[in-house]
Amino acid sequence: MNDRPNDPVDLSALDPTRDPARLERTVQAILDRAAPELARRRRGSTGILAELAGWRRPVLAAAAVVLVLGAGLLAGYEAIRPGSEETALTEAIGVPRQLAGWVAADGDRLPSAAAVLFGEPTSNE
Amino acid sequence: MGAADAEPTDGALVERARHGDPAAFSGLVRRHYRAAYLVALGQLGNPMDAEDASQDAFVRALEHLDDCRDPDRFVGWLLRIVRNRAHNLRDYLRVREATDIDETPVAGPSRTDRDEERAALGQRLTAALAKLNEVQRAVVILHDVEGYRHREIAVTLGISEGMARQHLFGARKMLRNVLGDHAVEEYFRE
Repeated sequence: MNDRPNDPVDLSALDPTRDPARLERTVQAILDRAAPELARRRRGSTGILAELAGWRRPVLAAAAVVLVLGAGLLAGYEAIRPGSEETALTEAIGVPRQLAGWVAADGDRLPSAAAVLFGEPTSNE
Repeated sequence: MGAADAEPTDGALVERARHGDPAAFSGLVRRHYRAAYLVALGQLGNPMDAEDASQDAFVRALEHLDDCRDPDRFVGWLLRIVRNRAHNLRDYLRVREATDIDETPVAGPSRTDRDEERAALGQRLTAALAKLNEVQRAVVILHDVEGYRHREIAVTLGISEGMARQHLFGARKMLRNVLGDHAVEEYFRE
């Protein structure tokens, strides 16, 4: 029965544009419903906010690049700063920064009790 | 060819519609209303509901036009909105149908035999379209009704050209199985 199974099937009986007058009414109905949105877009496309909105994406992209570069530079600086690793490690395990500084600066000289308790500078006796 | 080349592309119309140009939006509606309507009809099976869903989809598309990432593929994006609107409307109608207790049929205007035949054919075609899956329906409408080429369908729907051909073949076969072989051709042969 299917002599030409891949011939187009005529769907023109369903075509809503066969009646031009009806199509015009439909288009007009859609335009009426769309009128507020079209008006909003016309207003929006002329204001300064629209101009700024147009720059939103490039500015955000540039900010993201600056953020990534800045984070990279900071990480590099931290890595090459002398004593930074010891300080970071001692801070991580809860040793006070000042105590860690003494240890890093001069390992064989102990701070005085006053220096430990009240944060006074180490005396060179 | 010259006149056809002067037609603005979908991308150009979308860009102008984004700035609120009614003529550009009207151009998009005129160009794609038929495809939108037929996709909705295939899902809903009722011309009035299909009209509602497709009109609603155009308004929704305008409201979200900034989300259309590739304006030259506007029709593929639009048809996705149509499918969603039709899906939502179908769900709503099912709920309403279930809650309606009594609905007295309203007598319509008297019809000629020719009108009756056409209406019956329309119902059969609609029922046949409803048997297709969403991609098959979109492919057969874009190809056989809108005159798109396989390459354009592939770009529009985001599928390969081979898949577009396969879907078209499957869709036509299914339509012929549902409609019967020559019913449609004979009807249109005056």
